[in-house]
Amino acid sequence: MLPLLAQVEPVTGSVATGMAQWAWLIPIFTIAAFVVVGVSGKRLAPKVAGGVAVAGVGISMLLSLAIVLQVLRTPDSALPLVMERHWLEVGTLHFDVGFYIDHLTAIMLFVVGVLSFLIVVYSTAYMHGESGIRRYFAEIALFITGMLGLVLANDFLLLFIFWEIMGLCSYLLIGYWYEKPEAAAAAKKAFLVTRVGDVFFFAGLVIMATTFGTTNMRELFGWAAQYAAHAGPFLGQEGALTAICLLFFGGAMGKSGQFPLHVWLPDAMEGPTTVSALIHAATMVKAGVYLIARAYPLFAIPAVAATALTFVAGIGAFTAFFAATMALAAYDIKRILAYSTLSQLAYMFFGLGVGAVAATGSAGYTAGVFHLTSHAFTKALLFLGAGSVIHAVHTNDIRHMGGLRKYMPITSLAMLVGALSMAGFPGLSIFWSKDAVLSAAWLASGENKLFLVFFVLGLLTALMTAFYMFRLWFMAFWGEHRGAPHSVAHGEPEEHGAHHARPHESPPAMTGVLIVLSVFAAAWGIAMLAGGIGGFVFFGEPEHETIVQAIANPVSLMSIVVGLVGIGLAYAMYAARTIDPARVAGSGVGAGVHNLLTRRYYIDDAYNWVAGVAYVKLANAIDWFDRNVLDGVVNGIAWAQLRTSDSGRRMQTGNVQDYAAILLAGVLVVVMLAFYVLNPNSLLHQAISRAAPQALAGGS
Amino acid sequence: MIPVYWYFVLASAMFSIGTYAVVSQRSAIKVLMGIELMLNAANINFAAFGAFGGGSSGIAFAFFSIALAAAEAAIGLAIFVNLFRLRESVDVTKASALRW
Repeated sequence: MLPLLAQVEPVTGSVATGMAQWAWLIPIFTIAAFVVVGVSGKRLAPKVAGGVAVAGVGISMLLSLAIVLQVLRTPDSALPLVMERHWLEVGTLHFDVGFYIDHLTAIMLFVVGVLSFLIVVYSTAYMHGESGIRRYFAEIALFITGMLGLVLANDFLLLFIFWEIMGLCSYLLIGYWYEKPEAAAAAKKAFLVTRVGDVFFFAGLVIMATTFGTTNMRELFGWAAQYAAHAGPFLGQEGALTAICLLFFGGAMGKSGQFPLHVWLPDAMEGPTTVSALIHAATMVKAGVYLIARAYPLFAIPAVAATALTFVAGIGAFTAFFAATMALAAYDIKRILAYSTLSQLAYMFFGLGVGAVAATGSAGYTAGVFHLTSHAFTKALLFLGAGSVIHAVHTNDIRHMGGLRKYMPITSLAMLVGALSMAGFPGLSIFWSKDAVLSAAWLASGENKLFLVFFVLGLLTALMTAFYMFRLWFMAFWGEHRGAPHSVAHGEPEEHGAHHARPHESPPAMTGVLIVLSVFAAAWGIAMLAGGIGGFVFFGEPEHETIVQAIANPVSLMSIVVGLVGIGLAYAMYAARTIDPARVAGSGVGAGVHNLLTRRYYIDDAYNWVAGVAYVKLANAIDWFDRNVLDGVVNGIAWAQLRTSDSGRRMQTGNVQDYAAILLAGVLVVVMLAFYVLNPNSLLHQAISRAAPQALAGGS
Repeated sequence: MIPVYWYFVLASAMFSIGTYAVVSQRSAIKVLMGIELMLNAANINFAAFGAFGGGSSGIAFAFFSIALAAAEAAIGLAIFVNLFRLRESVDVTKASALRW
């Protein structure tokens, strides 16, 4: 690389060699795709633009896979693989730019690389015929750059930069159909709400930089390890560390849509479905979870964990439950999935937060990261499946679907796999990871009763998740096709202009991706467990849990039961119709709850009131103060000056004779002064020199 | 011989009359005449000083002053001709456009 930049020797880990030293190329290829597609504009045919994006993301994926392979071969003691280049120095602060690759990075690289590639391939078919397709591919390449860079970053400041790139891209992509007012509003909402979190994150960074003089992960994590041996700069800084961790989590809450900053994610469905898939599965919202997992050595310091990780677990458990309830009453296929994402992200935070109880070891950490990966594949499958459905029926409303399994067999089967996995059906991906989270929480509840509450919330969430996923599946794919009276597309504009008489299966680029993702959604969990994820992604001591151990425990049995109950309830209500959903929603209490859920607990209304009414009133009051008091003072001073000079300028009559008279008067004064004061012989001069000699001292 | 201060009295009287004319008269011609009186009052002083021991420099300054007065009168009259063309009057109190 650049020879002028000095290499900083790492304290722990080892300098990247072999394939890993080219890790910096991973985001370079995607950003190259962004530049090529973005700069060429209309000179590039839409097909070529898509091809460039696919190629850029594909090469990055291959590089990522190569690095994952190298990490697998590297002994744990040699990790992390680090490369650092001196970047800038401000006073006593110094920042390095480079990458930091450990097991967490590797697993994220795999998930992000593979999913991004699949989604971009799917996009080439899904976005076919859109007018702004080049813009779409340019932005999506930049978006993926942001996530890959964030995963690789070796410094929290660098991570923050990529974090912000993603924030920008989410704004651009959610507002892809910017001519639609809802999409423009959703984009603004996403940008502003995540901005609230970003301010927290940045405040945490500032505290970190001013307290410790660095934001470099290698140094910070080295000090965290020293702290365990009662040494290093972290001693006595527990308060600052707790503040940093809570502020970091504030940033994660914004990015990952945790209560109360969850409001942007359901609205983000206004973007193309592929963007939703990318945001929900591989990038953006996973960044918040990744940040906590990345900064886990700081969170896990015992004095910090008691506050910070318990808070993380509490917010996680609450949001999991809270978001799942809102999914129960939603009719927009993408919104249901969005609430589901909120709920599942909260599960990941919940898992990570379990680490607050030291006795659980690294169970919570492993479970959180495991859930992140299995959810990524499942949610990508569900979103792309939903995209395939929307592509076919031109509506988002599941009330207007029904019976689609006859017309779209591949999509309906893929969605079934996704729904089963999401519902925690035994054997599929999410079953394993969700159980890992719940088991860890169960373990923690033995020591801290608070975690028993969290555990129950988690179990209820599992029940609701199974219910709403199958409510979606039965309403969309079971029974007879209902169709919309006028087929008004809710979220997606009528892209092809042509109305199809009946729904049809999507093109192979889409179904192919769905099939690949179905395999992942089904098998990822058991493969990871068999491959020993507990010995791969862990914090502290590795855990080695066998598949038998994972399934044969009371928590697992409880989880299987609630999952099946949820599916059965959904079958009874929406497929067999033995329970009429309209009656449930129509009865007294049911109607109230239904209304509360469809209005999203009035939280959006409250925010709108704060932003639209209270804030405007405050702004008006300040505006009045500015106009009348501040401007009044300034204008008053100017007015006084004006009046003063106005009276002064009246002396300038313009009449020559007046000037002559004034001149004459002046001359007379001078002459009289000379004759009667300065002249030593004058009587006045003599009188003054007797009375006050010093008055004439300079004159004579 | 006439004492020197008689000349001073004469010059002072002429200067005062001229000043009065400059400050009080509305007609530009009369103002110009006032200026001429003031200049000539000074010329009388020059001549008197020259005659009473100042040598030839007094006379020389008087001639300079007369020449300057002629030039000044020419310029002044030219200004008044233009003023009259513009305003149809040579009333100096009316020509007061250069003010606030």
